[in-house]
Amino acid sequence: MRWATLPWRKSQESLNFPVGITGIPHQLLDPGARALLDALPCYVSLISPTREVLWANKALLQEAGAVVGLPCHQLYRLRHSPCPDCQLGRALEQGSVSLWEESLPGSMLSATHTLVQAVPLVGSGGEVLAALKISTDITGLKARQRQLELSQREYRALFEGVPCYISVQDRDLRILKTNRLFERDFGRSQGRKCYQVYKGRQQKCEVCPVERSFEDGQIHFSEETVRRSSGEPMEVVVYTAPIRDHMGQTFAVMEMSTEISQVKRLQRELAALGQAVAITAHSIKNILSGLEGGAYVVHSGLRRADPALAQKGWEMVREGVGMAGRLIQDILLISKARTPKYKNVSPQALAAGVVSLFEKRAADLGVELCLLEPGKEPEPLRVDPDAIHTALANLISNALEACATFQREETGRVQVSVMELPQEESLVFQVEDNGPGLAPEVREKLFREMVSTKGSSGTGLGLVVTDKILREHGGKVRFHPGAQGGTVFQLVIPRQAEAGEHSSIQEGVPGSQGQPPFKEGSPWKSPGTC
Amino acid sequence: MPEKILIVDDEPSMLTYLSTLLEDNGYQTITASNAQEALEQALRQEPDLITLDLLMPERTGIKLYRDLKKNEQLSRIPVIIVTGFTAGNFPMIDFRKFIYERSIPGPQGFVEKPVEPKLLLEQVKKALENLKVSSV
Repeated sequence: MRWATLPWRKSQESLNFPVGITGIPHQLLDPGARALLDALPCYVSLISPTREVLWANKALLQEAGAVVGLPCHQLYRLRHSPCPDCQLGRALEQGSVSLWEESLPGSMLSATHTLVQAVPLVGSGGEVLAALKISTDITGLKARQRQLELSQREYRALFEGVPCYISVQDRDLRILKTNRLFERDFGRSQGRKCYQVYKGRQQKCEVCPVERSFEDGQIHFSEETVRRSSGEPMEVVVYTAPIRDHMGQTFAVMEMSTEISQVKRLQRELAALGQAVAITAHSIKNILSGLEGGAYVVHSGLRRADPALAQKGWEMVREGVGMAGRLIQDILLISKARTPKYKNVSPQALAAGVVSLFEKRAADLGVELCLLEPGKEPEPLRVDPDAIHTALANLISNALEACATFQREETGRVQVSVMELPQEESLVFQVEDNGPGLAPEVREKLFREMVSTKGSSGTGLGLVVTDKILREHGGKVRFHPGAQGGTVFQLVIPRQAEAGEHSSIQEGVPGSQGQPPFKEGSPWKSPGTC
Repeated sequence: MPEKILIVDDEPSMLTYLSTLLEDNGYQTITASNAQEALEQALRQEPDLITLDLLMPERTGIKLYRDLKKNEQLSRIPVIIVTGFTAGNFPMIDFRKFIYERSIPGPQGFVEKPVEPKLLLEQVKKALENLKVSSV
């Protein structure tokens, strides 16, 4: 005889009894083993090859009463017939130890879930005498496991579902894990460094909130501009939180980024609005002082009985009134959310109309103004003609002023041209002057603020109006230094209009990408008609 | 004999206004609308005072100021800067700072556009009085 695996074997003799004899099954186990099994905090039964309970330990007897002699399936499952999925077979028929979980939907036991080990007791001839079935109540454990699974699912849903980009990073800023949104916008990033994914760089950022969270175990945040895998930039606010192990050591940091591009845009628009209000106030002050000056001169002329002086003063007053009118128009154009009234128009005819309006002004200022004849008449364009008229007039007016105030040998010259940009599927109205060019400080500001370099005569709103009109057309205003000094401004209008949100003003450099006006064969190369 | 003031500004309406204002207050005025003309007028007419708009195209106002202060014959003429752009609305070009930090002598007055007539007249009067005191 031998014990299969039981470590508490004390005496081999106690097993020298025939099996299957009810009433004396306990003799299979010596008193020491029985005492030990009685002391265990689990249900132990000895089951015969015919699935009969031969012996039960104290815990089982206390719970289920007199169970010795009952069929195993009745005790554990309250069944009248053997369980179809009886797990004792491995122990009773094959003589090997087996382990399984058993749920007890209805039984004589209060446990609803047990972890069961079955150990065969083998006779001297190798025959299995009985199986020791040891059931540990894991009902509480199971409940906690289910809770854990539930909270893991909740955590997972949160991790995947929040409208933030989440990544978990190690000390080397290597991404260990990302959520779905992150993967959607930044691609599969596991194993890559944070700065490679977010910034497309090989060096880490100067101030890194993830590193700071590793250092002090605190939550940190920063605002960053990152780039989606599509290349599109995005402004985000980043929060980093340490993830600690059971010893309280930070082994990873969770980084949560929320897109704030919209908020930032609003912030910039608000700042621009503030600037516009300041400039408007300044313009009004200028206009008022012009009116005051004019009134003073009129008064003086009358007092001196000098009609010529009074006339000069009157002109100043009229100029001031005119400026006030233009300012109001500009403000209305900027503040109203207008829907463009689209019509098909000939771009060349539209440009000719605007240019003709400025001919007298140009002559007064001593500036040459001309419209270049296109090699091929551009196709009709679908635009709001009045709005584009205003935008082009603003550019021409700026260019004339730039030339008029610039003193040098050469005559001031403003060239207007209309051209197709097939590669951008756009039509361009271009205005080039040979004025002083834009000072770097002004160029800087054109992107953000309203600027007037015309002293008291400009409202500073012209380019803002132009920008708004082009945006409504889904187009853009761009500028770059001219080939022979001066500045080139372009109104770029897509043939397939699509309204945009961002500022339409772009600065370029001649010859750089997206700056086609100096290409061979463009109307710019043959200004013979001027 | 009234004091003679040269007004330099590229805006015609400003020339009209300042000359009328100064004449009404007993000064004789001459005007120039660019730096070249101003320098010629200053040499020929020897004004007692110059009002100068610094923000003329191509920084010619600033150059003119330097030329005036470097010229032996003209450097004693007091100059009052009358200009529109100051740190307030155009931080990139701080003319006041530019003028006062240079090795060349500073101007005798500084009036921002839009011009406050009383302030300009006060500064003109003071500059001319100082000139008289120093020449005595």
